[in-house]
Amino acid sequence: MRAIWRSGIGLALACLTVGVAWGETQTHTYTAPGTYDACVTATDQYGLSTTTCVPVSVRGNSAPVVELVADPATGLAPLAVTFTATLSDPDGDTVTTTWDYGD
Amino acid sequence: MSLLWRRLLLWGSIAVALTLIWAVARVYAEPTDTLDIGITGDDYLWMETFQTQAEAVAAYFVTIEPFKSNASLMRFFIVPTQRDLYCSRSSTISRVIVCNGTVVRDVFTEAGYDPDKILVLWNTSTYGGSGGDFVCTSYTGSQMKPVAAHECLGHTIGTLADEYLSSSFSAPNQDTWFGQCWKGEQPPDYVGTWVQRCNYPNFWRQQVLTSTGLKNSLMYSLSTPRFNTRSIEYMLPHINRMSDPFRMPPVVELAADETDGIAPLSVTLTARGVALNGGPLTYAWSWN
Repeated sequence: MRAIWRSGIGLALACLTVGVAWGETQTHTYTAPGTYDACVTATDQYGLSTTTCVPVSVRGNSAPVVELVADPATGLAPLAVTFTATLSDPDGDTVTTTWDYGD
Repeated sequence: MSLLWRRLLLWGSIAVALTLIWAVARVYAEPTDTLDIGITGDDYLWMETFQTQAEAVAAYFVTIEPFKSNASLMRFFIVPTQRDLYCSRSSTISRVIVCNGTVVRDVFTEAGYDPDKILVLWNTSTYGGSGGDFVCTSYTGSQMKPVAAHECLGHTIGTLADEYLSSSFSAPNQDTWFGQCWKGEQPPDYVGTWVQRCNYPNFWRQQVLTSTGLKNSLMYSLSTPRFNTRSIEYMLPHINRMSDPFRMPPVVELAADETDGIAPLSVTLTARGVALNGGPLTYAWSWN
C-alpha cells in the first residue's frame, strides 16, 4: 500500500541506516572420521549473539576392492597366464595397481 | 433501536473498554520509556466489536519481529470514541484511507494519553489503509491485521518503503539505500538473497531464507507475517527514537566449501553477519 510519508521523508531518513555486513573466513582440517557441527557465534557490541552451524561429515578412507581372475589357472610350463584385475573403490578414489607374479 | 438505548449501549461499552486499556498495556509492558501505540476506531456502532478488533491487532503486532522480542517495551492504549474521525478514501487511490489527524490526536489527549503513533480502525469492509507520519489506518475486513501491521509497524513506525512494485518506471541507480530497498545496478553486499522490483522495477529487495524456503516481507505481501533482516535493521533507529532501545541479536549466514569428504578433510567456513543494533561483530568458531 502506498505510504503518505514517501513524499521525500524516506530519503531524508536513509542516512540513519548502518547497513554493514561483517564477514570472516576460517579454515579447519578434520583428521578423524565422524560427524561434526562447524559453528560460528557472532556477538555484537551489546553482547547479543547468534550461533549458526553447518554439519560436516568426515569419512575414513576405505580400502579398494580387487577381484583377480587367472586364465588359465593351471597348466604345463612354460605357461602363459593372463591376469584380469577388476578394481573398485568405495570412496571413489583413483586406484593404482602393482603386480607380483610370485615366481 | 431507540437513540437512548444506542447511547446506553455505547457508553456501557466504553466503560467496559476503558477498564481493559490498562489490562492490555500490562500484558506487553512495564512502565518505562516505551513505544506507545494508540488504537481508536471510527464508525463503530458496537464498542465491543471495536475492542475485540483492537486487541486482536495489538496481539498480532507483538508476534512480528522486531516487536516480538521487544514487546516489553511496547504499550497499547485502546480508546473507543463516539466522535467522528472523518475517515474517508483518497479521491485518486481509493484504497488509501485517511482520517482527520487533529481529531484523532484530540481523542487521546482528552483520554489522558500521549501515544507515539496512532492506529485508526475504520469500521468498513472495503479494503484499504495508509501509513502516515503519525496516524496509520486500516479497514476492518479479513486482512485487517496484516494491513494494520504493514501500515503502522512498517510505514508509520518503521518508516519502511513498500517492497511491491508501485512504479512502472525505473528510478536512477545510485548505489545507496532507498529505505530498506537498494538502488543500484547490482545487489548490495549484504546477507540474503536479493531480487529486483522493490518499489521501483530496478531497486532490490531482500528475501529471507527460512526452514520453508525463501520468504518475502510484509512490505511486499500481506501473506508474509514478517519483516526481512534489512527492514528490521532499518526500522530500529526510528523505533529507538520513541522508546528505550529495541535490540535484536545479529543475523549470520554461514557457508562451507566442503561438508562431506574423506579424512583428512579441510573445510573453509565463511560467515557473513549483520549487527542489527549497529556496531561491529566479533566471531567465535567451533569445530565440534
